[in-house]
Amino acid sequence: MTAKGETGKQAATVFLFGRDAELAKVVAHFPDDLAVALQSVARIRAAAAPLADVTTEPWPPMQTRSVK
Amino acid sequence: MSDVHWLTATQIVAAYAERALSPVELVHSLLDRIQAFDTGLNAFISVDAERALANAHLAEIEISSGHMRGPLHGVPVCIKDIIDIAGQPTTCHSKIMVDHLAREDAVVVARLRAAGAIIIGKTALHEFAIGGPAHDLPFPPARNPWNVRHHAGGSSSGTASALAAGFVPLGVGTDTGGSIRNPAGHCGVTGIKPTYGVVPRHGVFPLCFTLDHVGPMARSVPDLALLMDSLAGHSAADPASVPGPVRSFGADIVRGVRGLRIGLVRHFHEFDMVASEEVVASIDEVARVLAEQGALVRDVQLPRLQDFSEVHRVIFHSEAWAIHSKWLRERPEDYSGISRRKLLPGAFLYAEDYVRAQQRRSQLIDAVNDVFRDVDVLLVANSMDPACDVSDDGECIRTYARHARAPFNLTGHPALAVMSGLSKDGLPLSVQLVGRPFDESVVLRAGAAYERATKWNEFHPPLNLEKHRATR
Repeated sequence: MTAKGETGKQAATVFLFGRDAELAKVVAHFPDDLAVALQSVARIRAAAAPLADVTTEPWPPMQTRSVK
Repeated sequence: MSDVHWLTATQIVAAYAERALSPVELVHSLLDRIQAFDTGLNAFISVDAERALANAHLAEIEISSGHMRGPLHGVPVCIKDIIDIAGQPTTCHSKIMVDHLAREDAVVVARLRAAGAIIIGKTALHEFAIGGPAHDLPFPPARNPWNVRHHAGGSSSGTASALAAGFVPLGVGTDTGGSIRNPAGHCGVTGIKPTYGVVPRHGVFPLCFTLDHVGPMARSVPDLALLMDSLAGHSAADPASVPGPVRSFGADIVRGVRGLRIGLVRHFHEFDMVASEEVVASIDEVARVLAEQGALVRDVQLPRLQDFSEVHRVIFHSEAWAIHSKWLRERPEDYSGISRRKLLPGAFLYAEDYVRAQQRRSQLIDAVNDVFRDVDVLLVANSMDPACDVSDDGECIRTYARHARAPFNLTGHPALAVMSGLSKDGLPLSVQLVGRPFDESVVLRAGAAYERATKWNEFHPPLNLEKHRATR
């Protein structure tokens, strides 16, 4: 694929992901920021270490709610 | 009394008790200094001079008649402008919130008032505590008093800048990925991210519910203990607040480090993310000083820094997106470019990513706690580089990401930043001391011992009135 074709494909990807995320304004005015975000998420997923045991308890984000 | 702007809170309290200083004299002096220098530093978003002076007059009458409201009676303090003060705007340094008026005091503000503190004003931050030094916001970024061309660190930039400039002796910041410890380090002051749940967050605009911490900043470690005594303690308004009584955080502050077992997490800054030579040398020197003071220092191994960062990033983006998604969809142009780019990844993470990250988080907490079976305190790098030139966007983005702070937002362990030297360019260097959950007093004890041995906390930036006037 030519460089022009690659750019067009990337723009289409940004458009589709942005539209699905209901980010029409961002797609229209800040497509570069969206492209950076998509690349960032791809890097995060690629770096994520596999979990040996999927039944591992997640960190409990909150204590039991106190009585107000 | 001369140079009252460099007095620590502990010294101020003592001077009040001896009638050697009056709150009115002190507040007048600090307001004059803010007026003279802050145009070049932008530490404050707003200064409430009238109310501060009125409270100083009241404090003077009460103290002289023997009526002490609390341990901070008459002590000036600044508040990061992401924390609510009733009747005042909480702007979060953002266009989005610029007109938002707080209806009630945050829990920490109410506690400061009860302790008798005098609130001087609200300080600058990185937008919503997530952005970076940006010029497309309603307020300019805070500057570093050691060199106004350099980054003050963030996100509690203004609080650190105000402390380093001698505008106030105490400040309150917040820390989600290092936002107390980074600016404390870059501005040559001190700050502690307490154990998660020890200081209530109610009334603080959230960034990430499970990573956010509120904590004290100051120019000396004993002052952090003094401020922690007023800030900490259970609040039913914060669902993450830890029940239980609060001890005096400064009870052991003069005990020294003899016999304390300190684990140096060398691999963070020598292998996982190679720090600048100056930073490496500074950490080695801290280890040497602590050993000389009687601590038992040895290297320890934690999971890789990258393991923490990956998990932190997923949780950070996911939780921040949950808060900002509506505004980013409706008015993305009202965010700074740097905040938009930091927030948007959250739109593309899945529930599975988030839950996996929380599962990995549990394992990382266990791994850190395992190391604490054999040591009492960890010695860890803070920033991997001295503060960068704030006008160099690329360098700011590169160096801002190079640190070892986020692991302890993830694990909740208390983490203290103390000044550990000056770079060849005269910019502060800093390290972290990290303790077991709820062991703030041990961390503060180690930090205070280091401070007494080195006196780095007595170094102040060479603010020059004429030079600062010239930069206006």
